[in-house]
Amino acid sequence: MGLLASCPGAGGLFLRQRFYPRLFAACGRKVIFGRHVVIKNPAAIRIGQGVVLSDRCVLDAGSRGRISLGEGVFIGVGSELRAHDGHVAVDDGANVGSFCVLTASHALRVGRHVLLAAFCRMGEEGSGDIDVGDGSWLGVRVKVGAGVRIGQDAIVGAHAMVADDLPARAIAVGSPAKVIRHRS
Amino acid sequence: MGHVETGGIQKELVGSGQGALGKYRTVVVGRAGMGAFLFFEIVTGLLGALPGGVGAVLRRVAYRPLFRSMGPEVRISRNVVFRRPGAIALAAGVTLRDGVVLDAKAESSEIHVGADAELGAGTILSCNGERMDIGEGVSVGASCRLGCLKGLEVGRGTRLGDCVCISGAGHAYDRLDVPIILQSLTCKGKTTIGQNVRVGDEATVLDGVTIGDGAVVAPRSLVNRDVPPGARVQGVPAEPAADAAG
Repeated sequence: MGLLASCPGAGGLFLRQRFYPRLFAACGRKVIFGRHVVIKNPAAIRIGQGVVLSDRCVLDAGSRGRISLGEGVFIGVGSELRAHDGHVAVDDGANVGSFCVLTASHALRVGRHVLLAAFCRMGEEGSGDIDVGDGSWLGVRVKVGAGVRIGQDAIVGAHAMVADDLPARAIAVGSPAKVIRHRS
Repeated sequence: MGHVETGGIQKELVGSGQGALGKYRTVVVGRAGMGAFLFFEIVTGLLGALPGGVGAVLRRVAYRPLFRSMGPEVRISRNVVFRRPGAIALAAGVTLRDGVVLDAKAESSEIHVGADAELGAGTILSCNGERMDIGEGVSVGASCRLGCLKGLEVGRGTRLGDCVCISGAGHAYDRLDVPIILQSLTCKGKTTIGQNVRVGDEATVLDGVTIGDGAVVAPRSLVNRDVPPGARVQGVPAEPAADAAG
């Protein structure tokens, strides 16, 4: 993996697409592995078809963790998924922006078609499952605390810190995040 | 396995249409011919990761034909990524540190980096439409993300800290039956940051905002409306600082 990781250009993308999949517990077709992607414990990582892993992103399943990426998931430049002892799941069609950090000591699920803007952070402190409901949009630099469940199709404003559960279709802003209205 | 509708970036990269190589070629050199594409691949492939002064000098010489224009004394560090360099202009003395990404994504995109400007390691300039103009002597910190859909201008002498985000666009969310990621992008207009502005680490500037000359944005602030010249703002959303002189 070391030599292939830095192979430049179309050739590098082709070689990694061809040869990386065998390292993983499961890996779909047409996965794009950017340059300098860091992968730890690939045997505990499942990757769906058509996933895009941008340059310099990190998939770290630790020694006892697991990572699952659904179909068509996009992981932005420099983002880190760290499953220390837990399970990081990013479901089908979700888009994780650049420079995000997702840490799971238990279960962390990013739902289907979720949109995480750049610099989002989840699970860095404390313990407890985190769930971001399908179709939600978390703005730039949102921080989601441990144990939080965000309902489906919710919107969290940029720079908010979510410390409590949010209902489905809620729009929440601030630190700590408070619901200001619901989508309709 | 069923088909999953994907939005945004995924659609561009993985959607059906051109073959994989054709899509890659469009992303990295745009409409340029096969000769230009091969030159791009060979030159950046061989020289992109070369370390030290030797690498920088070789890149300065060999990369020049790729760009719309490149002035003298441009310093390109290792693993700098260019997409559609024919739409990118680098003025004299520009410094691009390790891993910087300059992506002139859309056909209408242009990126202009002014004389002696410096972009910190890992910083991403992603222009999804119109022109991104980084002024003379501007200093942008590390791991920043500057986006634009309707133009971005950063005035002369302005300094952006580390991990700053200029978002450039938002997302429509009026429909409830379609996930937000599949709805259109929104943009209130050009983002304009004046001259000699200071934007602190981890601050965010939303689309359509104008920040006047000499203003100061405190670290970790969220700027969602215009900031007058000379003002000091802080917080989420950014408000005039309590100790502002006025």
